[in-house]
Amino acid sequence: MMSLGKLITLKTNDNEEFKLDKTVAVKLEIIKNIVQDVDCTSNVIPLPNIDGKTMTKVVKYWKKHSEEGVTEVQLKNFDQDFLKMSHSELHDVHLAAKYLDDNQLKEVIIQEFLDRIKGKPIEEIREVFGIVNDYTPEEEEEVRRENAWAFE
Amino acid sequence: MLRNSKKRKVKLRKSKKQKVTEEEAPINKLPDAVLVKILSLLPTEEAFRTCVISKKWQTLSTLIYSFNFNCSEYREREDLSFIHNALEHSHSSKIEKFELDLTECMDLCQLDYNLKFDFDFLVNRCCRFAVKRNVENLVLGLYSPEECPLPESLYTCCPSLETMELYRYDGFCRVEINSSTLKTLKLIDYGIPGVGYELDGVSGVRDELEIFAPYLQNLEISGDFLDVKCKLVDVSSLVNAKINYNNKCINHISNVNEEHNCRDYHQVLYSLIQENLQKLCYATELTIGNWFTQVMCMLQFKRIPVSDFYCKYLTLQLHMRASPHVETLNIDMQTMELDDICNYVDNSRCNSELRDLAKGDNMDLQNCVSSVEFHNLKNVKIVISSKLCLKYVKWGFKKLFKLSKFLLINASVLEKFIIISKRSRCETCSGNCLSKYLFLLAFKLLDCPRSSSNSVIIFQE
Repeated sequence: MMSLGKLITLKTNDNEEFKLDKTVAVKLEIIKNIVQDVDCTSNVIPLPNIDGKTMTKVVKYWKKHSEEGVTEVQLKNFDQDFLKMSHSELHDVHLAAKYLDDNQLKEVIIQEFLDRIKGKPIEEIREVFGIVNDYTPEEEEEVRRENAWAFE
Repeated sequence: MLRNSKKRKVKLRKSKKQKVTEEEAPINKLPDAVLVKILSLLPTEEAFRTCVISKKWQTLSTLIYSFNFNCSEYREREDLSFIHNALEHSHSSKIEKFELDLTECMDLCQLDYNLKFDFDFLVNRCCRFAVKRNVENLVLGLYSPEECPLPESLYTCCPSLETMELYRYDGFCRVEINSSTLKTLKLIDYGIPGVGYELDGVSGVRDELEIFAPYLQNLEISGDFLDVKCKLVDVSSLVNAKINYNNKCINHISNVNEEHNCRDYHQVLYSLIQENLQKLCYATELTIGNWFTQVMCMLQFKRIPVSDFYCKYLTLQLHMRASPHVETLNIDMQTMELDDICNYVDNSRCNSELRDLAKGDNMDLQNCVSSVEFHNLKNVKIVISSKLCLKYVKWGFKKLFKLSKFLLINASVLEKFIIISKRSRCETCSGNCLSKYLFLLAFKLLDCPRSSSNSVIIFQE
């Protein structure tokens, strides 16, 4: 197990480095676990599945959420701003959060996806999740007929 | 400095590259498990409609593991058939949350016997479905339940069940929960007005409700309980309790023709409350409602011993009962609370009861708690959302000042005293009378003697 210095460096797959203050990092259970798992002598933790652009967002989120004395209202406003990103960026952050095992961030992203499709027509849901309609028109017609009970 | 600029350059180059690859690569798809989770969080009707999105989604929609069904009064037949179909199409082996709300159709059921029959069948089917699929959280809002008792298997042999919330269900005589998994029970509106009118309050079967749940940690009993005598037999593991239910005088329950002498009836209720309080006193967080608190004050006045609470967080909705163990005290004033109860026009209270309560109210607050000091009280929060206009009505709030002053003098380790005004404009005087009044109150309190040296008084709008 490596010792925690004052700063911890996270290195993304495109070689971007993020220096996290120990106080920020320690609050994040995930980093602690990674630090304990990674057997290396330097303070650099490689993140092979995450690119710099996504990590910038994740770090921004972590920093805000571990700020001293931040109020709930401030966090709410921050989250609202933070989530203003494209569908695919949202996917990327979700993947990163999943890899980093950050449940809180994962939940936030899932909730955002939920809000984006709630009450929306099928077409829009396809767009949000990048789904190609693989039904032929006849097949779709049949599915709609079979499930007519859900559309009444 | 040098490193910084270098880093920025790297960042720039990378983000450009990123853009190119992003356009080429297909959007990363969320894993199926996440999609099913999102579907489970959607309103169930919407979730099932997603089956037409693509072939994959047709399968996904059958794996939904949380359901929220309700039946609306105007399309009850359609809703009924939707629920049956949804259950038919579900393949999930576990259910996180099953919610069925039929309360809107209560009146319909009393008019239409066939519909009631269909509802009985539905409730039964839903319960069996939920138990079979290892439901964890069950929320049922029912309608006219006495002829449709819930299957006992729900809370006797459903090992996965953690939370059970029942609205307007009154089919129990005794709830016996021996499962150590079931941690949360909510019973809301137990007695149903207009139902069971043949029961005369003397021989009625709904007369009593016993709760035996030694492993239960969270309990909420609130709403209307009519004449149902709720008795906590064993709730020894409770951590969090919210007791906010109301009993009515037997003479106020519909279809009781002759006036009973209700004296004995009330006495029975009072001693029941006393017993229940005893069972609740070890809970860490305790919220006690209006009626309960009134009775409690009255008992104290009569010098009937009321057990001390050992809770750390106490929320009262009316009068206070001092306890040396409390650290946080929330006082929620929604209407005319803290007013004289004699003036408190409450049609649901009969005269005999009002007399009892009035005696309790006449006692001096300070006498009542003078022997107790608040050794641990650190936070006091008073939230006021009263609709009364303070330009004209002032008497109700006199006690608030007296109480606040008293708390400041007696709470020796007090840290925060917060007064929150929840209303900005008054409908009567179209001014901001409440905030003005409370500001004045806070100002006056600043001059009061305090026993804690580092306490702050905060006024919020």
